Amino acid sequence: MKGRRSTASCHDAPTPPAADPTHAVVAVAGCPNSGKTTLFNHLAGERRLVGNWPGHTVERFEGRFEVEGTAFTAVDLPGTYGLVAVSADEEIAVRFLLDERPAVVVTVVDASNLEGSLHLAAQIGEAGLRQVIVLNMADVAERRGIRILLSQLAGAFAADVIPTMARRGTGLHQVRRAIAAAVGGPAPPPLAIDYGPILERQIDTLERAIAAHPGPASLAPPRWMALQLLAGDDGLARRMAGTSGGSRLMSAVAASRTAAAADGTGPELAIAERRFAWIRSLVAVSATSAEPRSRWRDRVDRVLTHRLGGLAVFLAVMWVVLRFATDVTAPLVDWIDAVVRGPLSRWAIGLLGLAGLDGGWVESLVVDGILAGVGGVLVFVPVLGGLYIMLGMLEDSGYLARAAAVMDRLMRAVGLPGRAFVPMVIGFGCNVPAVYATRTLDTPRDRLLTGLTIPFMSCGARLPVYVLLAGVFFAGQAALVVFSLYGLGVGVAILVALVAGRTALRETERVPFVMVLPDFRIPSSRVVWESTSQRTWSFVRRAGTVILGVSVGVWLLLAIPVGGGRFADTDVPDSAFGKLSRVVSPALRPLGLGEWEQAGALLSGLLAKEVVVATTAQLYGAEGGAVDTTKGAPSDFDTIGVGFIRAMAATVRAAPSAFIIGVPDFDDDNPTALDTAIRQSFEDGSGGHGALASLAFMVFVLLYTPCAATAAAIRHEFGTRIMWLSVGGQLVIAWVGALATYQGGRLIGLG
Amino acid sequence: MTTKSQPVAGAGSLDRIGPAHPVRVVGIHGTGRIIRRLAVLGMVPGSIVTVVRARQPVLVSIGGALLALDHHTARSILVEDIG
Repeated sequence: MKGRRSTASCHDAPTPPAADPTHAVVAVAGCPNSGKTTLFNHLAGERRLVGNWPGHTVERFEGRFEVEGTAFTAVDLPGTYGLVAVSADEEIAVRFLLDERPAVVVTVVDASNLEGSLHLAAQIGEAGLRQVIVLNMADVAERRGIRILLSQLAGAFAADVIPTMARRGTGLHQVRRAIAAAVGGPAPPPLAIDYGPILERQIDTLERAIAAHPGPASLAPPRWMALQLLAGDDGLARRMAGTSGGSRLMSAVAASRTAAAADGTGPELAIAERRFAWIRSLVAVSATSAEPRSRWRDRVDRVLTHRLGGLAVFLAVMWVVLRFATDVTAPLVDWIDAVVRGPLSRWAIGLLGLAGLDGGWVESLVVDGILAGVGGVLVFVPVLGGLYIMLGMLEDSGYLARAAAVMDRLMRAVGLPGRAFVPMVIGFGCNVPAVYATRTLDTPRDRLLTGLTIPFMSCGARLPVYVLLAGVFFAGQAALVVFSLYGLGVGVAILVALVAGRTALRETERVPFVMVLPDFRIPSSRVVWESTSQRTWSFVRRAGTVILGVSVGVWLLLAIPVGGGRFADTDVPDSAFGKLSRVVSPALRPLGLGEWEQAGALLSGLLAKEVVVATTAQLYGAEGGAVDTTKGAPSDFDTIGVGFIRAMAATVRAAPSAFIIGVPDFDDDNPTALDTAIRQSFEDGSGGHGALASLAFMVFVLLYTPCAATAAAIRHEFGTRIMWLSVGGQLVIAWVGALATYQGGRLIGLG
Repeated sequence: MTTKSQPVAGAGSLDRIGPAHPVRVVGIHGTGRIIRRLAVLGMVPGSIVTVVRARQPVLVSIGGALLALDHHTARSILVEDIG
């Protein structure tokens, strides 16, 4: 069981792989949130992240698996409720099913909601595709008192029907066997549903027109194509119109649609009505009905979607998330800091000494370049881990869709659709998947407008910058500062949406807000662990690659003398980096950021936001001394082992404080040399308004181009022109925002 | 395109229905987009639905699922009492 390993996590842009022609293709399809990705992971031995919010998978994704020696290619598709697509992610699923006609479709059906989720299975059956129907969440159905007669369903669909609990991995062996049997078996006749005399007459007429159509023959059953054209499948209509004789066929379609609508109900609604009537009568004979929804569930949902109550709940949830990430993890951050600056640096110097390389430029590269830069970023791994744990729980709980429902009214007031709220919250973790998640929106206008606002959602990589600076200037208030910055990001996103939505991107069509609220559930520890470890690991990996590269690059630029001096023995201000930063520096002086180090850190941060921390640590570390060589320092064993136990204990003790407002009870540790150097520099650069200048710096980091990967994602989704517009706009907005912070703060006498 | 349903005695739009008693869908007014979004979720004539929350966002339980709708969309769904 080998699969193309991808974590689809931060900064990994999804790319559609080509299907391997030698293996039978098995597509995994189903309604959003029915557990397709979980099933796919089990089938293909993959570790794709799953999420309890509709629109998690917006790209098809491939893996391989074997059944008794035969290899198959499995394709995980975005969720869709039917085969007439409305949004871009649904279009990907529908076009794959209909154009590539996979050998077998594994249709994932929610066993606890048969009536709603058999619609897709019915359409796949009508399209004449071979399918294996998986009744997922069989346990939930059982809990609700639903008993299902599998043989009735299997008979109606002429397909194997297998109950599973994909989250626990039960029933998957049978799924594999059914897939193998279906691939080898004969193709079933297309499912036939009686659409009643009016529609049937039009279906007949169109079926004959399609049979007589001189264009290329299609593999799909003609009756199904007639039905699809009658139901208004624009994608299919466009393609048929392009073939020879297409215009004649299209006028036949238009005539049939008009004739079918003669009784006042449009054909798409009439077709769906008859299809659901068929499903209802099938469900009536094959399943017992569910116990009614429990009262307390309804009550909880009413509170969570209440106009004011729901908003308060959302703000409280975000407060806890950020509080947990910034304050609770602080002891662990201090521990890593102590390990990197103490034992790790000493060992590195010791090793270099053994190799006879100490005291020269190699030591400088290792200690001032790599350890200061990469170590400066790795220190914040616990912060990122904390953020990802909380976001993972949020995503798996089913809460996000409810938050989107509350926000619909507010979002609409600024010109954004309510559904856009989900990608925006995802952006708090990382902007890259958030940009791709805009595919779940209905219109190109909504997608673009949302895509323009996403970069202002403060992502995880920006968090270390805030924690570093807030720790220096706003000790004890870090969570409040961070929360305000997240709020400011949302505020700017709203402003951008207001301006763009009222000018270039005016709303032309009212998009309905229709969202299925997934069941609430207690987040699975396995799912949260997977998502936290993969995202955190992706952060660590980037520290080992991008940040390492940039750190070495910055060290080199710092080592190269401009106008006199020797390599690696240059005064920092005389280095190439110093000179380069000085060019940019004047533009930042009005923001209270007059020191060239600040310009340099922001300049390097165009690549990725953690780089700001790495460069800051390098620049000030070089002045402050990166290695802790204090006499009487604790032994390495104490620092690493005992220190870790102490840090864990302090973190656990602090965890409950995430839920309250106020300062957590931490031992106030003494400022490090780095802290002192940073404070000094911000005071100097602003003429004594250090705290205010640090706020301006954080505002700038919040608002300017998130990273090269986000810019690439925007280019992938919206084109090069929009990318430059977005990047340029962010730079201007960041400059104005930081200016307003600093000068406004001085006007009202802060700092 | 707009789909009109024939007027049904005792029918009203979904946004006027109080919570907790089931009603039957008799028609949907609105653009093709609204009809498509709703129809695939089973919001079609003949379906039985129950309003869980009557104000924006309107929450409706249908089959085993819970839908959230904006007020405008809820208004485009015509329902009748089931006696």
